[in-house]
Amino acid sequence: MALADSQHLVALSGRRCVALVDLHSPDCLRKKLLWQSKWEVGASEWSPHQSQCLALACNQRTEILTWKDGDLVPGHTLKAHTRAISDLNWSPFDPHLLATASIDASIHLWDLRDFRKPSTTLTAVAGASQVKWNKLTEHRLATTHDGDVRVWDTRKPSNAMYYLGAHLSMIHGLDWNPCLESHLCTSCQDGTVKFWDIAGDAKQPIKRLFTGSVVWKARYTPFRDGVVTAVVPQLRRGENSLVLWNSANQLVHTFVGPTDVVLDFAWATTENRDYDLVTWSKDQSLRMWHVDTNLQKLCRSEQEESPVQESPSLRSPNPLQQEFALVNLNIPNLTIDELDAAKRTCTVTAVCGKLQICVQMVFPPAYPNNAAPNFHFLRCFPTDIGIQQKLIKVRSRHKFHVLTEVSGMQVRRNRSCLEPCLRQLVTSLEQCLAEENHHVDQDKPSHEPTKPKPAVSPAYGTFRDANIPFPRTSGARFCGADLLVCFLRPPHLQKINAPTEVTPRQLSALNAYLSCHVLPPGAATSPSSPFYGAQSPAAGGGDVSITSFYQPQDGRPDPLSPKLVGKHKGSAPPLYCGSVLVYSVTRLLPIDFELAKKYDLQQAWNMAAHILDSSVQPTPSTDRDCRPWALYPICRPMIQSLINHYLKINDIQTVAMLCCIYGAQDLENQKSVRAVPELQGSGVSSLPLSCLLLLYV
Amino acid sequence: MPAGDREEWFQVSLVQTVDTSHDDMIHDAQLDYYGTMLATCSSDRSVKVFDIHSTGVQKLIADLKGHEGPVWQVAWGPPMYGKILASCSYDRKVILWKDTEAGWSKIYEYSNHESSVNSLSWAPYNFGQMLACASSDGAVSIIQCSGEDNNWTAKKINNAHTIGCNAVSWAPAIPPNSLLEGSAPQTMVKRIVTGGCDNLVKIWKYLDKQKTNTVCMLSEECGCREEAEEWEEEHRLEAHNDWVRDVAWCPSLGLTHSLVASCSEDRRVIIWRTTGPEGSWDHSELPLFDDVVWHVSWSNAGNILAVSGGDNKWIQHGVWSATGVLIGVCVQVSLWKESLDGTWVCISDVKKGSGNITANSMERNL
Repeated sequence: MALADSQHLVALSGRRCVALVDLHSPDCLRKKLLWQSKWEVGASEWSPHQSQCLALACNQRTEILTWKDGDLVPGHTLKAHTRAISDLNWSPFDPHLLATASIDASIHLWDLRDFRKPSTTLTAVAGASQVKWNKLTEHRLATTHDGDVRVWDTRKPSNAMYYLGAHLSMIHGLDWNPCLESHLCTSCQDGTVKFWDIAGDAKQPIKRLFTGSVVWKARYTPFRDGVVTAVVPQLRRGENSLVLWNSANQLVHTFVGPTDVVLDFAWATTENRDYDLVTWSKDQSLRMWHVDTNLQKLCRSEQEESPVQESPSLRSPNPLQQEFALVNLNIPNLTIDELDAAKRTCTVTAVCGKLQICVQMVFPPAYPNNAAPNFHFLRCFPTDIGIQQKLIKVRSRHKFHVLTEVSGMQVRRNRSCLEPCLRQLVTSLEQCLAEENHHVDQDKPSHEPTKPKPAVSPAYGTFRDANIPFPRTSGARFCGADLLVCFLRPPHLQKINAPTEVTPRQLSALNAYLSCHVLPPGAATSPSSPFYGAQSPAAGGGDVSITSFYQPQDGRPDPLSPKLVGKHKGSAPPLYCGSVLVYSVTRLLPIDFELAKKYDLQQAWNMAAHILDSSVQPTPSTDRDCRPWALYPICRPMIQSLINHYLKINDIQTVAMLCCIYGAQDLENQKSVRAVPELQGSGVSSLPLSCLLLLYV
Repeated sequence: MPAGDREEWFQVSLVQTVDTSHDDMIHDAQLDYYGTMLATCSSDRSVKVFDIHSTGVQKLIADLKGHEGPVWQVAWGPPMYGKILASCSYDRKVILWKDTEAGWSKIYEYSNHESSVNSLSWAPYNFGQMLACASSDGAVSIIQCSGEDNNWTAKKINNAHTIGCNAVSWAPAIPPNSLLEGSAPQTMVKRIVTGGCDNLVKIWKYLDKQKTNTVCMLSEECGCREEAEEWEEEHRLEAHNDWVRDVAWCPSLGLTHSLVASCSEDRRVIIWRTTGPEGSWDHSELPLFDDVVWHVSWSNAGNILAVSGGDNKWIQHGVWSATGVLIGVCVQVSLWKESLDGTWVCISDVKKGSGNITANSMERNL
C-alpha cells in the first residue's frame, strides 16, 4: 500500500495489478493497471514531491510508474540489486532521490534523472531490511540490518555515522520522529518498540514499549507525541492489533476492526487539522479511521515538559492505571478519596441523604482478566449509628453481593469494572435508604417521607452500551390471526460468520461486528469506540455514545469509525435494509377458513353472527335476566335448529361452541340452561359445558 | 428484493414481500390486529407504517421521525382504542403514535428511562391502554392512559433486573382454567414477565391495593418517579446461563396452564409452565440452538412458537445456495409445537430445506 497524501490516492500493488483507490470516493477503483509479474511487490511508495511517481519494489528491480492525466504509465526500471529489494524510500528533500535497500546488503541511492545506475551505494555486511530518510535533516539515512540500525550521512557513503545494536531479533519497522531530528524508533520481533536518540548516548534506548507480541510496524504520528503500533497477535486474530500510544507509553486508543494482521498504514491529512489513518490488512480490506483533535490531544501526556525524566522508566502499559486515568468520575453522590494504581486500591465515599459510606476496592494483580476486585466496607457515617442506620448498614452489606455480581459480569469478559461498580454502589445505597424510609413510613405514618431523588446520571455512554443487547438484525413474529412477519438482515450483512463465531451479545460490540461483516463500501459504518467515548462525549449529541448510529451524519464527522473502503470486490448498489416478508401460517393452525367453507360451517356461523348483530339491541324494557336475542321470535328457534342439526350429524364441537357463545356469560348465575335452548334427545345434555370444551377443544 | 411468486415454506406460504426502503438495518416488523398495516422500525431512527393488502398493493402511509437513535421495537396497541403504535429506542424514549384525522402524529413521549429502552408490550385490552417498557437501566415502566384526554401516567419498577432489562411481555388477562371453572371475569390479574441481563426471568404481579396513593397526586413533577410498590416480584425463574433476550407469555385462552417462553444468549429456549395461578413454575427446554436466540413469538391460536435468532450459519449448510433469496438465507426461524406427550417438536425447521415436517426428528426427552 502506498498513500499519496496530496492526491488522496492509495495504490495497492500485487502480483497481478496495481489498483488506485481515491480516498474521497473509496467505493470504486480509480484505476487498475494490469501487470504480470512473477513477484509480489515488496514495497511501494509515492514520491512526496510530485506525487506523480510511484516506486514499486519488485524482487530485484524497482519500477517507477507515473500518474499522469488519470492514467498510470510505467516508466523506468531501476536495476542494480542482486537480490530482492526489501524496502525503498523517497528523499523528503530531493525530489529525484530514491533509496532502495536489499538483502544483498547494499543500499542504492538513485537519481532518477539517470536511471541506469545508482548514484551512490552504501554497503553493509548484513542484508538491509528497512531504509528511511530523516524527515528533518538532509543527507541523513537510517537502515536496519537484522537487529542493528545504521545511520548514514549520504555524503560519506563509505562508513555509517552511527551503529545501534538495537535488538537481538529482527527489526521489522523503522521510523524517524517527524519533530525531533535525532529521534527514531525501531519495532522488533521480540515484541518491543525502542526509542532512540542518536544525538545522545546511543547505547541505550531512551524508552521502551512492551506490546507482548511481535511488532510489525511502529510509526510516529504526524501530530505530536503519539506512536501507532501494528502488532502481529499471537493468535493471528486482528483484534486490538492496531494501537495508539502516547509519549508516556500509555495506551490511548485501540483501533478495532481489522480481522487480520495490519500490513501497512499511513496518514492522510484532512481539512481542519484532523488526520485519517489508512490501513491495509491481510484480510484484504482497506480501512480508514478518523483521528480528530480530541484524540490527538490525548496523546500528550501531562509530563511532556520533562520527557527526559519520564522516558527512561520501563513502564509497561498498566491496564489498571489506564482505567484509573480514563474512568468517568462524574458520578452523582460519589467522591473518590483515593485512586492508587501502585497499591491497586480505590477508596470512595458514597453519600446518600445523611448517610455516608466508605468503600475500598482492592484489585487483584490479574484484574481485569477474570479476577474481580474485592470490596471492603470501611466505615459508615455518622458514627453514632441509630437503630435505623444500623439497619441500613446491614442492608447495604447485603447489597454488596450485587456489586460482586456486577464486577464478576465484567471481568468474566476481561472488561474493567470500576465505573459500573461505582455506579451500582450509589444506586444500591439509594435503594437501601428508600426501602428504609419506606419501612419507617409504614411504622410512623406522620413521618415526613424523605425519599431520595433517584440518581439521574447525566453521563450516558461507555459502559452503558455494554449492557445494551446487540440489536436484532432479523427476526420473526406472529401477528394477527394467521400471519407470520419476518424481517431480514440487510444484504450487505449476509456474507457471514466463521463457523466458530458467535453473534456478539452487547451493542458495544457492534462496531467490530459491522466492520467485519459489512461488505459493500459505503454501507459500512459504526458507532465510535466506547473506550474513546469515555473521555470525550461525542460531538453534537453531547451525551449519546453511539453518536452517528451507523450512518454518518451530514456534515458531522464520524469520529473514529473505521470506514471500510474497499475490498476489491464488485460493489453492488447499496441496499441498506432487508425485506420484510409476510407469511400465512393458516395451514399450521387448528382453525382453517378454507376447510370451514367446504363444510357448511361458514354459513352457519354467518347466520349465528346475525343473531348477535348490533341491531338486536337490548331495550330498556328488556328483562335483564334474558339475552336480548332471546326475545326475538326468530332467534330462539333458529339456534335451536342449528344445535339440533349439528347434534344430528354428531358435530359436538360446533354444538359446544354455539352453547358457549350464547350461554357462557350466564354460567355463573346458573341460568344457562334456561338461556340456551335445551339439548334435546342427546346424552350430552347433562354434561356441563366445560366438559364439552375439555373434550373437544 | 426479488421474491419468488409464491414460495412455499413448508406449510407456510409467502403472502407478500415488502421493501421498506429504510436506510439501515430493520430491528422489528409487526402487523396490526387485522393484518393490514405493517409497522417497521430501523437503525435509521425512523418508524414506517405501510398499508398492505392481500391484493398485493403496498403503500407507505407514514414515515414517523422523532427518535434520536436506532429504534429497537414497535408494538400495535389494542385495536379498540384506535390505531396506536408504540416504539422504543436507544435514545431512551418511548413514543406513542396515533392515526388521527390529521394523519399520524406523536401523542405521547415517555423519556424517564436512563438507558436504551429495549422492549415494549401492550397489556390485554381488558386493562385499558397500558404499556410495559423494559430498559437497559434495569427498570420496567408501566405506562397507562387514565381518562380519555390522552392523560398518560407511568409507574416504574426500579431495578427489576440488575445490569439491564431486555424484554417484557404481558400475561393474558384471563388466567388459565378460569374458562373451565367458570370463574367470573373480574378475577383478572395483571401479570408481566420480564427477562434481563442477570440471566433471570421474573414474573411480576400487580397487587391491587386500592389505596389512594397521594404521593403521586401531590407533587406533579414526580408523576413517574413513584416506585411501583403495587408491582410485586412473584416468581424468579432461574435456568439461563446468560442474558435473557426475549420473553413471551403464551396468549392462548382455555389452556389449563400458563406458558412462558424465554430465549437467551446462552442459545437456549426454555418453556416455563405453571398450572395454577399461584403455582410454581417448572420448565422444559428446546434443543440447543446454533447461535444466540433473540426472539420468541407465540401464535395467537394453536400455541405455536416461532424462534428466531442470530443464527447465520446457513452458508455453511449450503442448503439455500441454489434457491436464492429465500427466507432461509438469513433469518433463522423455526416453529415449535408441543406434542401430546409433552415434548416440543419442531414443525418446520428451515434447515431441513425440503419442506417435510420434521416431527420427532428433534425430539428430546426433557
